[in-house]
Amino acid sequence: MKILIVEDEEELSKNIATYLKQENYICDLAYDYKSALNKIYEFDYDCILLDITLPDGNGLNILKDLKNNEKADGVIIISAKDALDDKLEGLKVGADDYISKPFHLSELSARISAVIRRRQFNGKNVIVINEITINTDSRIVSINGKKLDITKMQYDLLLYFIVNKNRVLSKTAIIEHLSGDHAEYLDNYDVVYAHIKNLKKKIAEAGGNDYIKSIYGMGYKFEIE
Amino acid sequence: MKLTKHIALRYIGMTSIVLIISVPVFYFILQRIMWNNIDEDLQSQRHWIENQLQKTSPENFVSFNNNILIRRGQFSKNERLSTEKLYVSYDNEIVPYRIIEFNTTANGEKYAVRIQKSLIESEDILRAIVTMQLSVLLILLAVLVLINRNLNHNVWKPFYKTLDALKKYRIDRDEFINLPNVPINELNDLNQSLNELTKHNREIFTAQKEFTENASHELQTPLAIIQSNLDLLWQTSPLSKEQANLIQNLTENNIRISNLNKSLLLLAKIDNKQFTDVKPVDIALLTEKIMSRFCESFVQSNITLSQQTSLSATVFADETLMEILISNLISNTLRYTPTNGTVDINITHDSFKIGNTAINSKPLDSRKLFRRFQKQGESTKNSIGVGLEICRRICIQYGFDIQYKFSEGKHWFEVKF
Repeated sequence: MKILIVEDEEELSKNIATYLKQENYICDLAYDYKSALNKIYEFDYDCILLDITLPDGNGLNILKDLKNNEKADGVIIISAKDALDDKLEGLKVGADDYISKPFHLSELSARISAVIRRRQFNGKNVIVINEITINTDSRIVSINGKKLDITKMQYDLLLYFIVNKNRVLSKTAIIEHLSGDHAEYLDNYDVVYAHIKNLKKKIAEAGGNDYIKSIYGMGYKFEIE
Repeated sequence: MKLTKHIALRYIGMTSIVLIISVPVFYFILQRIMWNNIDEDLQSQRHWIENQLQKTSPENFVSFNNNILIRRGQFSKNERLSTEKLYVSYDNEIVPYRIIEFNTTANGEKYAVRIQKSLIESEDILRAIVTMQLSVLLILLAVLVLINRNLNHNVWKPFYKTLDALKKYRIDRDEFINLPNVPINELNDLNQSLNELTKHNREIFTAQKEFTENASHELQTPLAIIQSNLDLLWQTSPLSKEQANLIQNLTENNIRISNLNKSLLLLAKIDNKQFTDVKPVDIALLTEKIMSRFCESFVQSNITLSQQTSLSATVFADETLMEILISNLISNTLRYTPTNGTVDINITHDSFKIGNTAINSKPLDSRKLFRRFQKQGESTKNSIGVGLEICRRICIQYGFDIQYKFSEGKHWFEVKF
């Protein structure tokens, strides 16, 4: 999977690349508008992370260019502007998702995998991890072929863990993921704890292994060999 | 009342007053002048009679209508001028007369002389003059009204156009007003000044908006870099408990700064009135949408939720702001309700009311409650203390009333639309 990171802050770009490389993505970096355009015409990417405010141009124009040339690359807009206008315009022009700074790398990774999943039409919308099977179209989770009865939040949580498997996810990252765009409104760690406890219980009842490990009570990790 | 109507009414009012006063004044002055003329006439007649009496006997004075009467003797007063109404038998009517009576001596004889002069012709002329004056003034008045109407329709038209353009102008939506040149200097000046003013204001508005956005950008980017570094730090191994604790603290505070930054920018945006997408918003539907996000968390925290909607309120507001208002109030209850507590939501056609069980059954200080950074007893460390301030500002923008009450061990927040 190839990913292009268009972001003028080098340190942030490199950190994103470091994180994504560990997930076996191949990352290209572009620090400005011009080099981003060059890369886009030279290669095909599965997903492009696009900062809107670049030193020599507006990222939205790159997006328009992509759409005009009917390139199929998935696009996630990264913006420091929390402005609703940017978000709406970006999605209108054809971005697949929008994430505002600052974000957790695990959250970005989850968004990337969702975009890539949505763009594959060859039946790969089923994720299999040992005995756990997730159909991301119908949002059904089954363990050993048996359907698991879980809530929407528990589903989101499980998918988030699996996309970021073998990674430590902090409580704050989990809570931000669960509350979506409304991160500031949901800040009770007890809620995260309760959700995870219930998810673990349901997986255990259905005969699944206990993959979700607590890291000193500060974070969680979906551990798999 | 329209300015033109206001001016016209004063014009017409003043003219009418002048008319009402001037016509009788004019009448009396004219009458005075005429009487003076007649009096002078009578005096000259008197001199003529006095001279004639020296030469001839009074019997020789012949007068029509007995207008000159001379007898021997004396009046009690030496000279008397008066106006009297006398009956004239051949006309069978009462006619006003100007009369002079005087004593005179001629050739050693004392005479009492009376000369009288009919005023009827002069009165007729007087009446004719006054009538003519009155008609001229009335015609003038009518013309004045017509001129005013015409002014109203034609001359003031560009002014009303300007006024209309000003009423419709919104700084956040329109670039600037483009008012045309008009032939009248004052109106032209007004239009040009307004063009300049709106252009300048728009520039300031845009600059302010840009500053808000730039401030956000400049702060969010370093925060994003810190966050990505912390996330990578989480992935290092081995990770000790002590390190995990430190990273968690850093992460939490980084998010707090970011949320605080976002909230302050939101407040600035509300103050700048940058939320302008006003649409009818159904409060009950919106609440339902927000609750679908929160309901699992309510269940997890074992909070009983009771919701009553008697009739949904529909308000005209920006939906994003209304969502922030309602979800701030709901998330507050989620944050401050103890486990096994209850949250009540009541929606009526003109209000949204939300109450939650208080942690320590004490009312909050309602004066400090809606001010930013005023945290009170029950606040958790995760609260940044601007949520209610944001609610209050949103309510101010739309003229809603937000109130806090404490009753039956519950905190109640009510928004009246």
